[in-house]
Amino acid sequence: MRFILLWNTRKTEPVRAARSRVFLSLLAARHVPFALLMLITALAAFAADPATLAKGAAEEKRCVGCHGLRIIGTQRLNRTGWERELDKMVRWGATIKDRDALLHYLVATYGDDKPAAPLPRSESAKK
Amino acid sequence: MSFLAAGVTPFSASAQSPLSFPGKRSLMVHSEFPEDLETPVEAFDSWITPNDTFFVRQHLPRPKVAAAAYRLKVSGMVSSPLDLSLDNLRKMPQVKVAATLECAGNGRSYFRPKLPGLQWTKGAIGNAEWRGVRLTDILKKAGAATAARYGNFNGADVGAGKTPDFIRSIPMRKLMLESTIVALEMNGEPLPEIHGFPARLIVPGWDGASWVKWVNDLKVDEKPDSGFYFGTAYRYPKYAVGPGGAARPEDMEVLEGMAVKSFFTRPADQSKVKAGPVNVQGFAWAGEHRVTRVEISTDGGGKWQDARLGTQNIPFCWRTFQFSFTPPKPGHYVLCSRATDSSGRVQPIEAPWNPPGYLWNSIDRIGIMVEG
Repeated sequence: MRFILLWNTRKTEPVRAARSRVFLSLLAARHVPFALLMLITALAAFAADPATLAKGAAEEKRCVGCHGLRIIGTQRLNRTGWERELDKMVRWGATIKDRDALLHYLVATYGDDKPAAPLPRSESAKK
Repeated sequence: MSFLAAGVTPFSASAQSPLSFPGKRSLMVHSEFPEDLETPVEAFDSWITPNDTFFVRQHLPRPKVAAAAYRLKVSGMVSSPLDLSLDNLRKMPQVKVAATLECAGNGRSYFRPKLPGLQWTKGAIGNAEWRGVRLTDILKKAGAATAARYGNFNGADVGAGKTPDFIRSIPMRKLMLESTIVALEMNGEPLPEIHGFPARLIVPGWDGASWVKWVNDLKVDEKPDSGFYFGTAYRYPKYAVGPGGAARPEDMEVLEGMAVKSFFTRPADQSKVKAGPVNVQGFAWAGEHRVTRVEISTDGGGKWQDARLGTQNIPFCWRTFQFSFTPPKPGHYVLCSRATDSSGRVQPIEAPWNPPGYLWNSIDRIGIMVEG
């Protein structure tokens, strides 16, 4: 009822502005799925880009100065989780040259959508 | 402490290349450097967990401490600071304390949403007999001030770069207990290097992070340490935050005693068993409390029956439980175990999700397929 009224009243400036806002938001809403698709495609393309992944993998190897790679590979974190880990490691003295590539590599390889990493068994050892 | 201490040298990553670890049988490897090793459930078959089977959790690379150069420094609010050699410690009265040790993050991999940190399953736990010197004797010898409230403990391990040093503060009320010791032996052997040779703290009933390894420095103080491993890590929210929730730093409290829990060791999860009686067994423990009851369900948590508890009922130690189950017909059964302790705590259906992923103690559940 109120909606119809809006369209039938004399077009004062605020009403016109409100109507154009409604129109714009409807327009945007119609394009949201498309925009999302574009974004996902772009992200997926970037994340799967072999050159970026290779850069990220090379960056990961620099971590061995302080700890083995297995402790990274057993984690399953989303982007936010990996961001936090990288922040912590930088606070603790890690030097990361290509953070974007490393982050993309970590999310693509050890993301929280990946199945749990198998844990290897060590061999028995003497003293 | 630091490498400045004589006789302390770090291991390097390259020294760890084959996946085997000194004095250890086959274990699950979470990290080879630093060493984080989990005991597979099937390897738990005795009340005492043998040294070669015991899980390992290192925050920082394992240091090598030379026995002759070792000193435990005691300073701070004391009338006579000490510099105790291994011989000095050996000449003090020795006591034996059996206690179960569990990593605060044991079971972290079961929390949803997933959490960062070691993805422990069930085996970051073990029970051993420790032998060494009471903290009260050391504090008495040093003449600790009555106004002192904390012992701040550091070990010989150090991290690379700006990795914070692993320092833990233990309140005096816990240090004054007869069972809190500096252990020199584990299950009748000198403390293995991987478990803190020559000396580590034993803080029965409390999370593993309190059990400082390679301990060489005790500062008696009014205040706890403010570093990462006491000021930030090993804290648990005061109130449940819900799955994926966040807690304000001021609402995070230091972890002390552990939760009540039980888990199955036999039969193996998802194993096939022949028709006839099935021997069901496992362990239950409750941190500073005693396990008083373990109940078993063989129908996925519908009906519950008491399991038989092992006769070894010692403070701070887990108890074995046993239950004989004769499946009425072939098919798949879901077995559950639920422990109750002397303070009335009962193992919950689902452990409360918490940001650091500590104290996972959900009712244990395994499946078995009974053949026709």
